[in-house]
Parts: sequence; structure tokens; C-alpha cells
Amino acid sequence: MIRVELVKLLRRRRTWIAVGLLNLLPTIVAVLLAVTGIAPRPGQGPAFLAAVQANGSLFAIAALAIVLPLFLPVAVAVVAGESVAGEAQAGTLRYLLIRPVGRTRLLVAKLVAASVFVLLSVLTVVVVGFVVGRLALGNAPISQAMISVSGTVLTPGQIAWRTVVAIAFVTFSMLGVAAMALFLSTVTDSPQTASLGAMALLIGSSLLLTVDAARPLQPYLPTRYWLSFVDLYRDPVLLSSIERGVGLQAIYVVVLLGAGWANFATKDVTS
Amino acid sequence: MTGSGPVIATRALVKHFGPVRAVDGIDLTVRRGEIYGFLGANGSGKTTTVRLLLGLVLATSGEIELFGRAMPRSAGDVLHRVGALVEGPAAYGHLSGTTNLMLLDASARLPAGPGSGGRGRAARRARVSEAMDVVGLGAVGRRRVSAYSLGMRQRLGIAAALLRQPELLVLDEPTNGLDPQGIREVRQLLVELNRTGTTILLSSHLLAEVEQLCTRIGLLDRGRLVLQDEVATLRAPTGRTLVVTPDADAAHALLDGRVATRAGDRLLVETTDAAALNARLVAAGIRVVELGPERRTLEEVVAARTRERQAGEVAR
Amino acid sequence: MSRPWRWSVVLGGSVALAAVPLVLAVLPVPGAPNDAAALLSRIDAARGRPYEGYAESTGYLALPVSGDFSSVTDLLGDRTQLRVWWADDHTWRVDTLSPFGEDSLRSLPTGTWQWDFEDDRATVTSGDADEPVRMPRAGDLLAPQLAARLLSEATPEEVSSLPSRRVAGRPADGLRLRPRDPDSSIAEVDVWADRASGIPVTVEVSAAGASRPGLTTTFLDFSPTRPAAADLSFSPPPGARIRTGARPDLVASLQRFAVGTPPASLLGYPRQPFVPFEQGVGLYGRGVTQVAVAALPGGRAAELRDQLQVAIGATKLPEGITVSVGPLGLLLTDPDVTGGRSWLVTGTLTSAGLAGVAHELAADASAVQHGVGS
Repeated sequence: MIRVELVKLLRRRRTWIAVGLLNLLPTIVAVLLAVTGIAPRPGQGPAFLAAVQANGSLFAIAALAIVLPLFLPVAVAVVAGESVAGEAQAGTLRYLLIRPVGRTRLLVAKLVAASVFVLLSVLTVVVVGFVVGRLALGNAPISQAMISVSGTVLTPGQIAWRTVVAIAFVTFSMLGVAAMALFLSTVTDSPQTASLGAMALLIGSSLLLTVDAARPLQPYLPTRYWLSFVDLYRDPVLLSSIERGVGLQAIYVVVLLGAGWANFATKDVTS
Repeated sequence: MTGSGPVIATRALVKHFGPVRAVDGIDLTVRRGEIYGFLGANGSGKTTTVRLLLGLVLATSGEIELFGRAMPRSAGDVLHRVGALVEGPAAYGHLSGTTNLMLLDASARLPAGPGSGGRGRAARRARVSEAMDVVGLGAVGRRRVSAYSLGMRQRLGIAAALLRQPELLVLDEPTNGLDPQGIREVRQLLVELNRTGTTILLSSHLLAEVEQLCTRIGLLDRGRLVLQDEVATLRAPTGRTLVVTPDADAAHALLDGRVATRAGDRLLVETTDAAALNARLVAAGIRVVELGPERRTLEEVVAARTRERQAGEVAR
Repeated sequence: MSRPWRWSVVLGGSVALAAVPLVLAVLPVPGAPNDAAALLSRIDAARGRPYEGYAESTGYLALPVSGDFSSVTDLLGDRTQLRVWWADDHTWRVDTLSPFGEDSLRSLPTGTWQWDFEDDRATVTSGDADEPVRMPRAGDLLAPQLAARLLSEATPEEVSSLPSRRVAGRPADGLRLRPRDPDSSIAEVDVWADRASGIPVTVEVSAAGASRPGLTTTFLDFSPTRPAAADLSFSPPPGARIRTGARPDLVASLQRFAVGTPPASLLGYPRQPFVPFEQGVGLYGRGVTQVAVAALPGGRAAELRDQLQVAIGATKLPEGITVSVGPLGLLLTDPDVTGGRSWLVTGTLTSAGLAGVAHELAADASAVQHGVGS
């Protein structure tokens, strides 16, 4: 069933349009940086953007920081919100269920497919960011060491494993949104409603993070630890927020997948 | 695999959608080898009943058994023996017809065991291409479904239902959107499948279609099964003889007391012996245009059993 | 499984998961009832011990100042994430983390290094980072530093014990300091110290009359171990801009502006001797009660007066304009009251305390004038 869902995902044109759009924004930023030479003021733009003028390879990480707060989660919300509601709207849900595909199995397969989409997006953003950064910005030799956020020198090997962990962390960070969209997707038969609902969660959470009065709530917000992937590029690596972020996302996935199961297992499929 | 019990059996099946009783105590029985015509106006609860049978909608109360197994508890065990077309076909428009069927087949594993067909990719490909050929889509299998006509989509839906050579076919309006040629082909296909042992539940509001194909019918009216009987029984002679004559007055006078009804030059006479009646009329010099035992059409049966409803509600 | 049953499982599970941190927080920490005076001396003994960790400080004090002091405003009015490696009072590293980079300050035997990632700039200053008068910096918000400052002259009579709690997953024992000085605007200082090492791990400072702490700092990860030398050392990365920093001479810059001589004592506290100049700034106080005074030249004073007049929460007293943010009070005296000079009085004083300072300054000014006249 998971294989079937992956085939459906990968053969849909929308998937690739979303991936393309995700890569477009960092590419535009890189080209603008190269043409104008104006780097954002320190502390202003996304992480690492101030540093890419010197080392274009860093743009792989900067690209991730550019798409992480909004573009990536919106793409995830659209894909995951479509998962069950889209099948219901197209009428294919009933044919899957009488095949028969177990309802819980369907939910899990959909979540796995959404996760694969996230991983695919994140990987292409990193790869495209790396290539574009080297072409448009600084092209210091690849073997040259990178400077960590803490001002120490990282070997290419250290950068490689830290980036692999960062990709895994960012992918995992998106699962909360994916699970929310998937849950809403079982509630409504309209994929748009499900996606918008998940985006509302996302925007609400980002907003509450900026409100001082909401501080007691903040450790529970799904977007709380998203930007913590930067901690991987500190020296020594700061795992505290990474661990908290992974734990929080895991809880969101368990709770929302549970809610999706509770709702969908005996839902009347009348679409 | 299963004994000779009914393929479908429901007891006191009830389904509420909020305050609406969509299905209101249905006892449906479909026996092995039948083509069962499931009749009813739009909104009478046909589709809901079909969805209940397939576990898409869950009953408020009552029991359902498919192949003697309780539904929806045993859905995973029995549904792979069922092929269905529910409320029109549906497929992924961006994929080809063949890919759609491949994915549908791959989405649930066939149980292991003899007679269930192969589980490998080659077996799947063979199964799909056979189903496509049967419904006459072999030539357009590689085309995207979004480019299919209404009729082609309908055929694809039927192919999907036939994919695993099911023992039970549940078809909701299978000839929708087909041209007369297509309708004929589907009918032939159903008769052929039935001949090789497939039980068919055919839900339709086309009475002529049901009359031609089905051996038994169930009639649904406002969520209740108001009639369930053999077509042969329903259409058996009624014990009266129809006489059409230009000399209706004379005939009425002659047969005084035995004429049940008279409408213009058509008389219904209480007798089963048409030959004797004919002889008697002719002997009296009454001209007979037409004479024979009265048989009711399915339409009449349905009309007699279905309560009047307002014009807006009537099935189209 | 029926639908209501499934939903109750899911809701029950969610509530349980959400409650775990709350339950852990209120769960009593086992251990002997602690004696506040003993804890105070343990904390004192632990001063200068090595530790490392990850801390968060949250200030709710929105200072109505901007410009040169914005870094101070951020420290007291915002949330600051800090990583610290503390070997001893002269060898340490404190990183101020931001989502976009970090600002790292290292005090090493070779000098003080400051690294700013986003500016790609390293600044080296000879000598260690401590001097008697300097601007506050992020490291001052670390619980051990803040506690050392606030508890420096606390007496056993001023402290009471608080229930133990868990900080960074480790048991910690608490004490509460209530300053006896009636003019102090700080009502309570709550300190929790790591049970194993005696190092303060949480500090909460509450202003008089406030319903919640105005400043809290606590460790999220803590370990009382000596940090590895590799984590402390620093050599500027290739390609980075390196600057040799001039020691920011706060005393000199204040002295430039200050035009009056602060009195030898205020509110009964003598002027602190380590400010080595005759005129300009005077520092007074003990423990949590601290006050600084400086006479401002007319132009500066008028500028500040204009700013304060529109500041939220500013009030006019007979002695001048005052504004208080949590436990921090600021008073700009009226030159008519204080002998023709505008004095800036700031510190952890109540408004009555600030007014008292103004009166003492006025008395001192007239004494000086009389002295000159005779």
C-alpha cells in the first residue's frame, strides 16, 4: 500500500510543481545576492544568508532556512491535506476501501507518502541550493573548511554529517503539520479545507511564538523548535533543542494520527 | 469456498443519517448464482444499502453477512471476493487506465491460496490486461483517464470491478453513460459472467434492463424493502384474460358479471381459459382484435407497490 | 471499538502527554528539608566552581531607553538563550544564541575574544573581561553570576527556605531572600541551587508589588563539570575580520558628561571606593540595593527629560520625573530642587527611596555652596 501511495505521489504533476516552486525562491534569492551583492544585515534575514557571500556552499543551508518557515510547511499542508480528502473528492476513496484497504493502513501509508514528499523537497532544496550557491556566489574549493556558527573550523566530513542530521531534523519537523493536515483530511471531503486548516495551525503557532503573553504555551507549539537546525552548526553541537523538537513532533504525530484514526476508522464514506 | 447459504443476507438493517432514516429495516437475501435486480427510486436508499453491504457506511443497527461472514467486521476477509461499481466510476485522471487498475490491484494484497490468482507483478499485469480487454478498453489502456469519454470511464469502472474475478459483483447503474451498443455489450457480459457462476446484484432504476436480466428483484421504497420475489412469479399470469374488441358493449353484456374492469374497448375478464372465452365470443358474433392471459409488466408491479409521491420526488 | 471509545483514548492520551511536563514540575523532589542559612553558605562556597550548560533567561522589564543602551534593554526585556562553559572566574565562554547565529564571548588567559558570526568578525581585547564598572552583558544573566551578585551580602536572617524543585532534570534546593532595606524595590530574590554542587541554577527576581518575577533565569541543561579545554579555546577562523578592541571605558565616557561631585554617602551607604575619580558617577549600596547617581550637563538633562515626559509609566514627583520598570527605578531630578543641577538617579530603589536620594543630593549641594560661600 505504501508503494502504491508513493507511485501516486511521484507520478502526480502537482508534486513536482511544488518541488519546483520550493526551489525557485532560494534560486531567486541567490541570483539577487549575486547580482546586487547586498547581503542582509546581520540578524535580519534567514540564517546563514549573511555568510553566503564568502562561501557559496553555505547557500545549501541558507536555502533550507529560506523555505523552512513558510514555503515548505505550506507545500506539506497542501500535499498532506489532499491525501484522504482528495481521494474522497475524486471518488477513488470508496474503491480503495472496498478493495479492501484497511482504513488505518491507508492513513499510515498517506503519512509515509507525505513524509517522503518532505524528504524529497528538503533534499532537492539542499542540492539545488548547493549548486546554485556555487554557481552564483562564492566558489571556494569544496574541500575548504567551513566556519561554524561558533567561529571554529569544520572539516568537510563534519559539515556532511551535520547536514545529513539537519535534513533529517527538518523533515521530521514537518511531520506535525503533515499529521494535522492528514487528520483534517479525514474530517472534511474538501482537500482545500484540510490544507487551510493545517496552515491556520502553522500561522497561529508562528504568531503565538512572537507574543510574550503566550510564553507558557510556547514549548507546546509545533513550530517552536523548527529553526533549531542551526544548532547543528554550532560548535560543539547543541542537541538540547533538537531533542526537544524531535520529541514534540513525535507527540504531535502520535496525537494527530490517533485523532485521524479515531475519526476515520468508522467514518461513513458517502463521497 | 463457502457453503450454499445466501451470498448476501441482511437482517433488520437500519441506517440513520441524523434524523433521516435512509434505510429502515431491510431484510435482503441474494442467493448464489442469481442476478438480483435492486430497484427503487432515487433517494429510496439503494445506494446507502449498497454502501452498507460494502462496509463504506456503518449500520445504525441490524446485521449484514457477505458469504456468511459478518460485515463490516470481516471486510478484510471477504471484500476481495467482491467486485463493485458504486455510484459511478472513479479513477486518477493523470494516470492511464492500465496504471489505475495496476495501482488498485496492488493496493490490497490478494490472500494466499489456490484460485485467487497470482500475487506477482506479471500476474497482476495479466489480470489487468484481461479485464481491460473484456470491457473493450484494451486499445486505449495507455491513455490518460482524463482523456476518456464518459462511456470509457464507465467501462473502466466495470473493469476495476471485474479485476479479481469476483464471486459477487455489486453494480450500481452499470450502463450509465453507455451508448446502445455499449449497453448491449455490458448486458451480454453480465449474462456470460452469471453463466460461469458469478452472483450479481444489479442496482438500477431502468426497469426494462432489470426485467431482461434479472431472475429476482427487490424493490425499495423510502428505505423499506416492499417487495422481494422471483421475476417469473411476479410476471406470472394473473388469472384474468384481456380482450380487445370493437364490440365492447356487446361483449360486456354477454360476459356480464365476469368482467372485472372495462376501459374503452379493453375488457378484463375473470377467467384463465382464454380459448373457451374466445370460442364463446366468436360464437356470439363479437369481433376480437386481441385476446390473451393478462401478465403485468414490472412497471405495473412497481407502481402498485410504491406509494405515490410528489412530482418533484419521482425518480427520473 | 466504538467511536466514542476511540476518541476518549485519543483525548486521554493527548491530555496525558501534555500533562507530563506539568506533573514533573509539581512532583515533589525527595530530599532532606533544607536549611536556608546552610544553603546560603553552600552557595557561597560553590562560587567560582566549574560548570557548563544551556540556560534561558526571561526578562519582563521593558526599559524606556534606546540607542546606546539597546543591548541592556534586550537583556532585561527579552528572552535570551545562553550556552556557558565556566572553568573559573577568569576562564569561561558564554555564547548568546539567536536563531540566525551567535555572539560568543570568551575570557581566556590570552585575552578576551568576542566572536560575532553574522558579522564574521572576531574582536580581541587584552586582559580579562572583568572590570569594576562596565555595561551589563548576557553572561551576567546566568544564574550563578546573578545569584552571586544578589546574594553577595545577604545575611542568614534575610533568607528563608523554599520547596525543592527539579531544574534541568536535577534536584535543586531553594531559598528566598527578602531584603530588609525599606527603600529596596526588590521584594524577593528566589534562588535554587543544584543539590549536588551548590551552584545556583535558577534565579527569579520580583519587584515590590509585582505578581510575578520580573526576571527569571534558569538552566535547561546543566552539569557541574569542568569544561573541556577545546570548547573554551578560540583561534580566529580563516577569512574572518579581526579587530583589536579598545577596552570600552565606561567610566571615562560617563565622566565626560558628569558635571557634579556625588556625595560621600547616600541613604547611609558610603560611596563605593572602586570608582577612582573625584567627580562624575557615584555608586552606593549593598547586595540587592544598588543606586548610581550622576549629574548631567544641562543639554543632556533636557534631552532626557523630554524623552521621559512621553515615556509610558513616567510620573512627576516634586523632586523630578521618575519611571520604574519592575525593580529598576530611574529619577531625573528637578534642578530647582537639587541645587541647580540635574541628577540622574537609578537603581533598585522604590520611588520613596529615589526621592530620599534627591533630598540628600539637595542637602549636599547646599552644604557645598555654603562651603564655597564661607
